[in-house]
Amino acid sequence: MRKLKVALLFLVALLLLSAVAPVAAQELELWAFVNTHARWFREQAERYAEEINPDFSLNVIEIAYGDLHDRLLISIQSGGVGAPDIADVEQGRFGSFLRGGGDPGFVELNALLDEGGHTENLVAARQALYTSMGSVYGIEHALTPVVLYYRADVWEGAGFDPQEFVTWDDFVDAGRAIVDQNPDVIPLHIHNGLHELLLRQQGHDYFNADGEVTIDSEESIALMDWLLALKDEGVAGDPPEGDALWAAFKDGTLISMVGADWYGGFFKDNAPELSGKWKAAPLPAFEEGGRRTSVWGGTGATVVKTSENVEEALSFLEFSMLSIEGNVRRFELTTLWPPYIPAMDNARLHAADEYFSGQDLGALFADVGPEAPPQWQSPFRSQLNSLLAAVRQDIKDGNRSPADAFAEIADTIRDEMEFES
Amino acid sequence: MFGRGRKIAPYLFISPFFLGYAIFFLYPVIQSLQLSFYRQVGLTNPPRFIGFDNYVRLVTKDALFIKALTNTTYYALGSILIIVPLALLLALILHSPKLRFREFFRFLYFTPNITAGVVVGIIFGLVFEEQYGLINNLLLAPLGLENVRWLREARWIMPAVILLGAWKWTGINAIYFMVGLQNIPPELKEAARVDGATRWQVFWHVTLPLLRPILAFVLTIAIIGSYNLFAEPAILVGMEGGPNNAGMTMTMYLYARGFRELKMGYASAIGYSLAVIILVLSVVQLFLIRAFRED
Amino acid sequence: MRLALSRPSDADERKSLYLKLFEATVVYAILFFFALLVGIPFLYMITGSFKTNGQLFSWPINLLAPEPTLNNYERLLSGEEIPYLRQMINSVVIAVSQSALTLLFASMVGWGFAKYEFRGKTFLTIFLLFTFAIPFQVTLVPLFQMIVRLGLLDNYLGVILPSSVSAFGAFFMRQAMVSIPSELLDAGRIDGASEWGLFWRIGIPLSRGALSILCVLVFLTAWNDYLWPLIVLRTPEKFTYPVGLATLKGLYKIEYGMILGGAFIATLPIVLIFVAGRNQILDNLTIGAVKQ
Repeated sequence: MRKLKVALLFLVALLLLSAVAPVAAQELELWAFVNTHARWFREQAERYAEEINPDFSLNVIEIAYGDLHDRLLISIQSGGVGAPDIADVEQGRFGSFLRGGGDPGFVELNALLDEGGHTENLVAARQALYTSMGSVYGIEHALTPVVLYYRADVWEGAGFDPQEFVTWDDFVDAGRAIVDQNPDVIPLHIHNGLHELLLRQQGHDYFNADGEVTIDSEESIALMDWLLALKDEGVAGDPPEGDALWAAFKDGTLISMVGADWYGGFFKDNAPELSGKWKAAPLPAFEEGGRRTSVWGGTGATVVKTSENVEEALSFLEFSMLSIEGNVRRFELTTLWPPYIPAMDNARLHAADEYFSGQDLGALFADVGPEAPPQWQSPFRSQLNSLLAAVRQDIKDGNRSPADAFAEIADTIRDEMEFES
Repeated sequence: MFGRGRKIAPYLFISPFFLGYAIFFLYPVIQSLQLSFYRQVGLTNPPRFIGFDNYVRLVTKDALFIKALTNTTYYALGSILIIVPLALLLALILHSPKLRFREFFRFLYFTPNITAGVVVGIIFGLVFEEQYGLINNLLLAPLGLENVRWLREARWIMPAVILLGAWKWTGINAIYFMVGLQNIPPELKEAARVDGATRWQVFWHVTLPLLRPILAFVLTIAIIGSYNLFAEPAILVGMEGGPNNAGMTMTMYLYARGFRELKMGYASAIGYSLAVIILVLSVVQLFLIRAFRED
Repeated sequence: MRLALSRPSDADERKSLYLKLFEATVVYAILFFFALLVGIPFLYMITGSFKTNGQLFSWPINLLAPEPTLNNYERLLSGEEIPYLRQMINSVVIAVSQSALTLLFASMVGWGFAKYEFRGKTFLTIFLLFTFAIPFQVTLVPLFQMIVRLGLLDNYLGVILPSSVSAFGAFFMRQAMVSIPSELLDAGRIDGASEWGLFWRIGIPLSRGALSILCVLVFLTAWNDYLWPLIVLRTPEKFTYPVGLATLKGLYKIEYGMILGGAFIATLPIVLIFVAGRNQILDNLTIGAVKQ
């Protein structure tokens, strides 16, 4: 029995020891859910330590998208247990921090932005995504202009130049011709954000300026019907996501991608072997003279209220996110087009990009950027996104009509709004 | 340590347990009932009394709750229909006295049961993968069948989870049945044989009725297990249950509302609804078994 | 298949020999088929942990790893994406402490119920049996709020304490201890032993068998648990291994080889325990479970 006692004592000691394990001193923690962001933050932290504060160190932790937002919400609500100092919050999930009360638990940035003279330097439409009742809680990473990425070798090889497409009809005609020659190819990938971003290109959205849900609007339903018709024709398709998606890019099944600036960085990371084969063009418009871009995604950097290093965190964000150097460097590393106006005409944004066949991607983003449509924030967006995620495959497979599915989602959200008011 | 008082000793022995039981079980059970009549979003916001609103909403307005309930019931029925006959078959075979390597088989069949749900979910992500998965490539392709989009098409998700469940639980249930078979006196079967009964008749009229207690046990465990199902589908198709929430179980739904959206009152109401469902099912099952007995 | 019941002739005997051979073949075929169904996913987990993502996602599927790489294990153990070793240690600490506490509480309360008469015993027994039927999901939300208020969020104790009062364990130990002869205790009392001494020197040693079964059951539950640690633990350095492995699954780029390696390492000790004491544990486990 003595052995048992010794073992028990040892256990208790071990337990206590590990329960009070020392925390690394004076280190700031940052959560990110994309490796391109993480990489840039790490580099900025090194520069900050060199130039501003030699004691500064930043622990950049990469957490899965869903996990990050779920865990951040609970950490904030529980008074900061396990919370980071700085967190990337995706605009689609920002709303969930506003529900139930109003105080999202982030440091208000108005003073920093106004006193530092940064407010005019930031694109207002992007900042609106992280603003509630006049308080700004986040700084946007990217303008997120959407362009048409395409496999230059395939399209040009078939005798088409996507740079010259004016309308979606031009794109579809060319896509048809390519599919006629090679039925295995998918010219248009109906990815999870395509409907939303094309809707924005048309000037509509899932929520309107007044915060009302509009996913069941006529335009929204018509757009989805159009995409489904393209899928029936074989011009559009939806290969599985994840590793299988990159396999589809690599084996030449997918030959285009309607994506935002950040997708350029995704290509480089996930399909380095396709370097030199891609180019990008303005989006085809829905009618001649129409808007040639949209916005998709976007992530804001926030400072968590419970942080013990708020001053340092704000200073670091000002250094990295509100400077020309930081914004330019971010574009170089990740192809995120700066939402920071003073950086937009920097020469380094216009370097020839080897991955994109030597193209000046910056010129393209600068060209379409001013046309970027507005996007409306709502506390109910993250819920709408998860409702939509649930029916997306059924819609694409033709098991549910867009009209029916969208109406159901909209009704659920309206009902939820009423329940919480 | 406790002195020699035989009067107080028992109370000292039972008090640590009951203290813990009161704090970590009874109090939460009562607190949860109270909370289920309040609306509280978040941990710090003040709760507001709303009577039966949460329950009314669950039953009349919350399509996702109904879906989670349907999914879980589908899983329970589907897995029972696969597991019980298979487990019984394996038990009958393994019970045969002349069998070689019995211990090996028994151990192997039991192994999935001691594997963590998260690990099982991860492995089966590769088993059900659409293009490079084991089932599509090793089972369906040789039969000339097309790839099934197991985790992407709503209608295939629950069958996939059921197959996973069968993989995990058939072995342990076979072992339960073996225990039941061991408790049947061999004389009974021999007597029936002497009376001219076929093997099938012996099984149907002697073995099966005597296995009824074990069957009741297996069914109870299966029902409770189904309503506890969380890790495997959460890992396999994600916390939202994948396309059309087809893989969303009751416990996952409680987790989603309670610990992802922090709707404390609403999640409590879900917890109590779950409790009622499990209790009702258990009672129904007890009555059914009693009915069989009178039969 | 009607068996020959009347006096068997030679022909009948030969026929039944063939029949037996045929039966044996069918029986072993079924057993091996199920063994394959059970075994192949495990095999794939093990070989997959020695493959790159590219090898896993390519045709044709290979159940073995013809060009094994240790890269996954190197990255896993170096803590590149998650502090895996730390998380394994967390799992050990939590599972062992939870087992020890549960055993202590359960054997004490079991002893009290088995060997003493006291007021309220019947009531408490019925009460315990009654609340036994309430599923744990009911308690999740208030328990979580309590853990937050007590400051036990992201703390091992927050995981361990609520899980270490097991009503099942209490009943289980009572059943095991009730058969200990009371004469032994009376003899001990005459020799001057304290009540605690009787429990510790007679009760515990004589119910070692039951304790070891309960220990395995509790350890297994704690080792494999996902839901409650997921709710309570908030930082990767505190995660148990299932919570840690699950975070890898959601990352933008799923490192399957690493996850499979982590899953393999975590499953290994359990399988080894079972291989070592398989028959006894398996028999007892079943009994324990059937009683449950």
